Amino acid sequence: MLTVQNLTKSFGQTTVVSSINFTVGREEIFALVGPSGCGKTTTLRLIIGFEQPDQGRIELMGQCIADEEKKMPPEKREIGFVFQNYALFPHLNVIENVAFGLKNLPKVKRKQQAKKLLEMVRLQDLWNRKPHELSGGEQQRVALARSIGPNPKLILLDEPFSSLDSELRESTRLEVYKLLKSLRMSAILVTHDQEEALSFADYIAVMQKGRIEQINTPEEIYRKPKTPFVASFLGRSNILKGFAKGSYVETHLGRLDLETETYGQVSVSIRPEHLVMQAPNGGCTGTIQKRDFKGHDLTYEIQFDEFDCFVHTNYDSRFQVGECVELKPIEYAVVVKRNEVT
Amino acid sequence: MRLPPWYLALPITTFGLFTFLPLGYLLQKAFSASPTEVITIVFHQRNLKLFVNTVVLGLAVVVCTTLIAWPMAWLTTSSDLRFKSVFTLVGVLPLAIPGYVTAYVLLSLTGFQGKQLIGFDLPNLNGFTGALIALTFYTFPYLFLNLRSAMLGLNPTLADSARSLSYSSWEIAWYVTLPQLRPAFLAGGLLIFLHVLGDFGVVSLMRYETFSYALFSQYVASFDRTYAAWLALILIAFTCILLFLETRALGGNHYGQTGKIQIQPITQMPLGHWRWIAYLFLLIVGFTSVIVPTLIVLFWSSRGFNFSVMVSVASVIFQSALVSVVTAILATVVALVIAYTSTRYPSTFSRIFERVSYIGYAMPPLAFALAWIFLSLQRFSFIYQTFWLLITAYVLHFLTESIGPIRSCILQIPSHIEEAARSLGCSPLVAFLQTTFPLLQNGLLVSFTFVFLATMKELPITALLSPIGFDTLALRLWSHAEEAMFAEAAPYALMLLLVSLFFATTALFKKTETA
Repeated sequence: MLTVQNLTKSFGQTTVVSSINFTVGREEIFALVGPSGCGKTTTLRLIIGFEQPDQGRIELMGQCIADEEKKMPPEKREIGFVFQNYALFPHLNVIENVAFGLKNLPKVKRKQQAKKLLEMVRLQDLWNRKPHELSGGEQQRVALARSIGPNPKLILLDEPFSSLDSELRESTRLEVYKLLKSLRMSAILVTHDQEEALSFADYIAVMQKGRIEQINTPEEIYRKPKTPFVASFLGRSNILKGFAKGSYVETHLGRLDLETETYGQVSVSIRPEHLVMQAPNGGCTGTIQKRDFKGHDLTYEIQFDEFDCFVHTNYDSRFQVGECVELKPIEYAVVVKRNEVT
Repeated sequence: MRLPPWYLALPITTFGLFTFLPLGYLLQKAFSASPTEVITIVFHQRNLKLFVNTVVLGLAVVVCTTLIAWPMAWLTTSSDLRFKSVFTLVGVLPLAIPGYVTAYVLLSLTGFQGKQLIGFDLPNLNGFTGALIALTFYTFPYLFLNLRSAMLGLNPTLADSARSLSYSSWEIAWYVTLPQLRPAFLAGGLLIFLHVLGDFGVVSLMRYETFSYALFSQYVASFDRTYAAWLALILIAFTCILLFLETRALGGNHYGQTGKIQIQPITQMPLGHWRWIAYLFLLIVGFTSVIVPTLIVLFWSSRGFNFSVMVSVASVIFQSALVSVVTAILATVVALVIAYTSTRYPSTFSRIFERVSYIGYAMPPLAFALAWIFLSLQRFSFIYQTFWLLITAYVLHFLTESIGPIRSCILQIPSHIEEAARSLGCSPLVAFLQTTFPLLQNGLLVSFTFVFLATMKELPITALLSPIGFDTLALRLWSHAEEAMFAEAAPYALMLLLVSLFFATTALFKKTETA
């Protein structure tokens, strides 16, 4: 559906997007995740054509829409865009806003079609209201209905849920997901919320400082992060330095098993839920510093000689602050960085 | 809802009364005639002619100012033109040149004497054409400023949004941008129409008969002032209808950004080859609205320059300045009281009085002055033809605009510093003087300067209310120009321009300093 090759963009001296590559398939929801300033919104704006790339190529359904010489203007690309602040026209009411996007239909049919779109987002009763009379979630749904109206090939969403309060966020996310899937529409979502990306997307690209560090399905990225940044950004992780000796690595926690054979100085990642606490049994021990009760589970912070480690357990763990414990891994550790042996 | 304390409420109520009381006497004078007389006066054929004249001039000025102000505003905000700040100055500076000065300049260029200056015969510019030109150049900055700030505040994501929905640039300008600019057009257009309605200097010099001009001639020409009173009432009614229409047109529209506000810079549209036409246009506007009048005035001044002229000019300047300073001080104090009350004690009471002060501003100055005449003749004959009457009328007329800068200043000062002072034992007045007052200096200065300048340039109220023998720069200029004594009028015009331009540029410098 969409192919991005070697896309680069600089503003003045700063390179904001640095030679990124990815593809988005049909009916796929793709997420660009990363901290603020990593270049994800700029990438989105490059795809829709609000910015022009300095280098690289963008292809949509086989047709080149942007490269170094030729740039198709945004109004011809047939790509929808939902803005972070929804960008609803304040001088039009809800149904007029949605009908605004249907300029390819004859005027008589527009209102009818707009009504159908509003039914899809369950806002048909509010057709008469003005944007300032709607809540944030309602505005967002109107913006979505307006963007999908002209049946675009691809829809781009720029932090669509970030202005909603947290309770609303989950339910809105689910609705939008169901809508996109039922319309079999390809979408690219930009967000800084890793939980959102993990639950919403079919594929995730993690970005930092203008580069893509890893692209994969949520589960694969979570299980096998490629860099320390990816490991810590998506969910929480413990990053440990150690010496790999083939099928295991020696760390300050003790011995952790590795899935692939590796040798030499490495940094590995092991998730807090993949560690289990037990009474000291001759191995490396640490002292419990903190015990965070979160209702459905507990997070412990355990201090070893040179670092702190986090462990997730069930709600019924009995270990208390101050106790000495040993940690046992119940999953493989993942190598995230090979340190050169000098 | 906190009601303000008595020492604040009292002055405000007094000034509110001062605004409304004269209207009562105007009505009384108007209805003092018998009903048959009233009908004859109001439904006279001449009134229809005045009405048509006024409306046609008003609409024509609005159209012409739009033709100038709209491209200027667009060029200085949304294009990639260079020297934007200079051209913004060009769009604002004409405000410093009163309409009657431009009218004087235009008149002096035509006819016999003008031919001596420029060497060829310009077509006769008085009447409608002259009035149109003078008023357009004087009032277009109002529309320019309104449009400019509207364009700067436009939400750029709306245009982007429309673009993602396949709208081309022209379609976006028509369907998205223009509706967003509607409030600015309405507000600016209304201001301009009100100015035309209330204008006296330009139409009297150009001998173009509008209601205002007829009012003045009627007042001067006859002893029976009933007709004048009716003309004043008609003017006021006209103003009220305009204000009402504007509220209806603007009401219920919320043009602010909904959703999280995104601050994004406005995309600058590249001009390409059109850039040269744009520069030419802006230069022509700047030249004809500011430079040409100044040069002509300088020329005429050099003609009639001698010592005795200088002496009389100096004495007039002194009188003008004295009255202006007193007015400015009084207006600033009253504005301070109103602004302070409306921000610290917001209530229906203070809102009402803000509206009231707006009436003093929006009402055609001649009508307002005439109402005061009737009031003083009937009741307070001791103030008739005195400075105090003149100054009061000035203050009431300029009050609204002097409230503005003070108000924005107060809004930035938290109220708890005064409360802190009071908790430490200071009386309210001392608390105010020692905590809030020092921080208001900037706002007070802006307010003072504005009223001082406006009073120096004011014409209609001065013409009607000034005591015999009292002269201002504006009045002298006007009376000389009226009699086609252009060279004699020149020094006064020159002084006015100097004062005006001086204050305008220092104000703008201060603004860029603090910005």
